[in-house]
Order: sequence, then structure tokens, then C-alpha cells
Amino acid sequence: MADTNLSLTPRLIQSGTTRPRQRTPLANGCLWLSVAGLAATMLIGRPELLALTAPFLVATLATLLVHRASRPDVVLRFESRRVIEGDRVDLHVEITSDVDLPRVEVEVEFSDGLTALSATRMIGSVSKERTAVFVFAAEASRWGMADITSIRVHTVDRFGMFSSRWDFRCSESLQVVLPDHRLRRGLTPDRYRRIVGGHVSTDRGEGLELADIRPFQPGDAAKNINWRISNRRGEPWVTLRHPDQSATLVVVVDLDDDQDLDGTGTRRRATSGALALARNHLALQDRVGLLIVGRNRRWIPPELGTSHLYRLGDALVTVGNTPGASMRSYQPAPAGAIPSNAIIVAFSPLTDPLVVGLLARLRRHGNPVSVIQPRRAADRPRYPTRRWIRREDHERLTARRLAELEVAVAVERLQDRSITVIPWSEDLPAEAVIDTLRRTQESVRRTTGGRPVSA
Amino acid sequence: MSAPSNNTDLRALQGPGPICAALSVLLPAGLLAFMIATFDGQAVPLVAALAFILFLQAALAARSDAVSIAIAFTGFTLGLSDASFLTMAIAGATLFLTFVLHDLSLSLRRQPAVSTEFVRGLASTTAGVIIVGWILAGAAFVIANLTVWPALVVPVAIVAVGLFVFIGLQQLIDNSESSDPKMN
Repeated sequence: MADTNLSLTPRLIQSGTTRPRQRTPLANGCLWLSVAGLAATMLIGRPELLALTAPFLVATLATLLVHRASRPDVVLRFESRRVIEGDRVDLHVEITSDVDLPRVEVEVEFSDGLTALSATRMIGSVSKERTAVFVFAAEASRWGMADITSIRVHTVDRFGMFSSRWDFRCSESLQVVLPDHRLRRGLTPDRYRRIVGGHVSTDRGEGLELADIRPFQPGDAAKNINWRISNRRGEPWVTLRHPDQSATLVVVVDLDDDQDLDGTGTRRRATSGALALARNHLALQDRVGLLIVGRNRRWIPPELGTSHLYRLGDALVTVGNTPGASMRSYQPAPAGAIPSNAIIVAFSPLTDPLVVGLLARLRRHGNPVSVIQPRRAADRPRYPTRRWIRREDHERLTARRLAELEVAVAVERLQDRSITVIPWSEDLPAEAVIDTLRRTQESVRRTTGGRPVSA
Repeated sequence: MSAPSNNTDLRALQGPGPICAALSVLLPAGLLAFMIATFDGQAVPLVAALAFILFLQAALAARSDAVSIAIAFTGFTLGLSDASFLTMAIAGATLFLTFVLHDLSLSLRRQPAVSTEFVRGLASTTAGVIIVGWILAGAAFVIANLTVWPALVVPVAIVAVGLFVFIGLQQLIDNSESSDPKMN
């Protein structure tokens, strides 16, 4: 029976290289050998020669009698458009025909994000009015957008005389998403919205968490009177509580990394961390917005809900691991569109002065800004200890030192503007880095008495 | 629509392409060796060597035209020799099998997974063609050896069949793209 899990049936678009019916080399050979054999039989006058050419003649005659042209129906099915990196993807190519197709060759080609686990070419048969299923297995090997670039169906008739070829391409791309990294705790905002949420605010108001008790003052609600303490003290006292509030978080993701040629180093961690943070805060009823900077800049305004998380994930995957994302072509980010009460967390290697400038601008705008700086292993200094080095090594090292100096200057520039910069080395999980950021923010808040630090 | 057929046996025969290519050389090589050993004449080893080189080139370079020419050479040599009907029939079957194997080796490039159903179908079709060919050739041979018949009927019948095949096939090819609305 057909697999009911294979719910997705993308449209197959026929491409221009389709060849409906062609004679095969076998047909040409059989035809000319038959004719030559018959002619030789007549000319030489030896009927034995007919035995030599008989199979070729029979195959040619039988083709004329049996062959029926047909166009097979090709359907592609797979389970889901969204797969997690490392997962197996089964692609079912279903072929149905109104005539027998004794030889059907199906070949699929994948783009970079998919690695074939089985043969990418299969040869089988399709019986009349039956559906043959050719299952191709692939692994979602790299996050980003992955395509089934072509599906080639080649049919040959029973005697191998006529062949037809249909080329298709799949109308839909697969989204290879990163595995979930769930955080136990997100960040503690220092500014809130007037909407109930999952954060315990330091303010006083309606909530569950006990904050303080104090004598009753005019304007206090009678429901807040703590009767037990009031009886003991002989005057009315009220219980104060911390309100449960929500915040607005804007995640800025710098997907540009000019040095990261394979596109998986800092971009991958930036995407993974951003999604983990967004997931955690959306679960706490926070609004989360996303600003992707790089060639394909994208701004997704803050929203609530699980569907919004998918929207953010889609945007990161679509933009994040495409070749264009590694080519910097800066466009000004909509700093004015970011709400003034939003807390901003940026994931950036800080290698681009334009992104550094953008973060400084956002800080000037009044928003609290923190930066998590994914660093590649190659960012750590690895200078040769030997005295003699080649000229190109020397140039490379000088360039590296200059780049490191630029990043150090950028970090210093941001820190001067009260922006917390937390380096994220490859061996650290996202949770540890976000924990460090939270603790740093809380420590700064304790130092300043909870007052926002001016830029 | 009926249920999809199972293709779990597809991996079973993965990678027989080089075997087919090798067989498409070894089979005619055996035939050519037999010819050299059996038939007299200075041209036989020369033509056999040439045909072998062509078979080898066809297998290595995936050239179907080279197979056709090599088969023509082999057939021409057999035609000039005094081969018996049985020898001719076996040689015809071998050459046809060589052609089929060569064609199959082209299909089996790049290590595809092959279903056993397809291999069974191909084997039975090839065997059927060879057997029917033998029967027809045998019948024609018997008729041709009759006293008066061969002089008239056999050549005329052969020419008629040949023309029928040629014209019919060309007609089929010409009409294939325009007559079938599904193809356009």
C-alpha cells in the first residue's frame, strides 16, 4: 500500500530537455543489420545467412507489432517540506503507465544540502495500469535550502528499440532546519510591555510572586490587604506582588562571514543560537522580532506564537545558508522600526564594520543591546613558532592580525557604548553562552541599581 | 489504481554494468576465436582481429556504432566462409546477445540499482527473440532448400519483408511526434 505519511506531492515541472520518442542505437543497428543480412542472403544466394540476421530481424519486426507510445505519469512524494539536519529523506517517485514499460530508468539529482544514501539511478519495470515506486534515500546533510534539481525518467520499449526521456524539476525546495537547542532559561529583560507574560518583573503590581508588604496607603486596592499581618499590627497592611509581564525581544543575526567559505562556521551557530533564544522567549509570551543583516537583509517585526517561530526559522534557513548570504551588500537596517522597549540581542562575528555601526546606532536609539560573538576556531591566534616563514605565510598572518585587530577595536567600541559582548567559542553550547549573557546583564543591573545604562 | 509494486530487491543487482561490458567483449571474442580456428582463409584472422578491436572499443568507449560495424564485419566473414546453418544460427544469437549486453552496459553506467523484474524481462525477451529467430530462419532454410521454391519465393519474400520493415519503421518514426497528442 502507498505510504500515507507521504503527504507532500510537489508539482513536477517538465524541463526543456524532454525527448518524447527516439530510436536507440540498438534499433539502428538491428535495422541496418537486418537489411544488410537480407540483401546478402539474396545476393550470395545462401539461406544460411538468414540464420545470422534472424534475431535482429525478429526484434525489429516485433517492435513494429508490439510497440505502443505512452507517456508515463510521474508523481513525486515526500513526507515533509521541512526536515531536520541529519535526518533521512525518502523520495518516492511513483510512475504509472497505460502500457507496459519493461525498462524505466529513473535518475534524481540533489543540490548541495542533500547527500544520496542510495543509488541515485534506478532501473525497473512498470506494468500496465500499475504504479511502480522508486524510493531514493538522501540525508539532509547541510542546513539551508535543498533542492531536488532534476528527476529524469527514461523509458525503453521491450526490445530496446525506442526510448523516451522526460526531465522534470521539483517545484518545491526542502528546508533543512537545524536541530532544536532548547534553553532552560532565556534572558531577563529590564523593560517590559504592559501585557501579562512569563517574566516576573521587578515592579509592583498584579501577579503571583510576593514582592513586599507595607502599610496601607490611599489608592491601594482592598483585595491586596494582608489580613493576618493587619490583625497583628493593628492597622491595615497590604501585600505587594511582582507583576508577570512580557517583553519584546529583537534578535539581530549577522549571517555574513566572509572568511567562512563553506558557510557553516559562525552562521550556523548564530542561526542556532538565535532560534533557541527566540523559542524560549516566545514560550514566555514575549514578542520576538528578527533582523537578518547581510546581502539578503530581512526584517520580521515582533510577534507572538508558535507559528511566528516557524516564520523566524524559515527566514533564517532561507536566507542563512544560501550562497548570496556570504556576499556583503549592505542595505540600511530599519533601526526606527524596532520598538523602543525591545531588548536587542545580536549574533555577529563583528567582522563587518557596517554591522558594528548598526549595533551602535541601535544602542543610541535607546534599546539595551547585547552581542553574542560566535568565534571560529581559526579566529584563535595560531602563529608559527619557527623563525623562518614563507612570504605568503607572512602575508596571511599579517592579514589575520589586522582582522583580529579590527574585531578587537569593534568590541571595544561597542563596550564603550555599554553594549555587552560575549564571545562564543565553538566548543560551547548555546545555553552556556546565553547563561553567561544573562548573568552578565544581571550583574550590570545590580551594579547600576537596576537603572538603564545610558549609551 | 492498483497498489504500487514493491522495489525492495533493487539493491540486489547493483553494479553489473562492467560485467555486461566485459561480456559484450568476451562473447564475440569467443566467436571470433572459433572462426579463426574453424575457417580457412588469410582474411579471416585479419577481419576477426579488426572486429575484436571494434568490440573492445565499443565496450570501452560506449560506442554502439562500433558494435554494429563489428557485427557487420563478423557476419561478412561468416558469410564468405562455408559456415553451416547451425554455426550461423549460433553466431547470430551470440552477436544479438552481444548487442543487447552492450546496450545494457550503457544503461548500467554509474552504478544504478536494478530490479530483478527488469533483468528477468530482458532475459526472457532476448531468449524469445533468439528462439523465434531460429524458428523463422529454420523455416526459411527448409523452404529455400525445396526444389523450385527457392529460386522465386525466398528472395521475393525476403525483399518484401525487408522493405516492409524499413518502410514501416520509417513511417513509425516520422509519425511518432506529430500523431500522438500526448507527446505535444
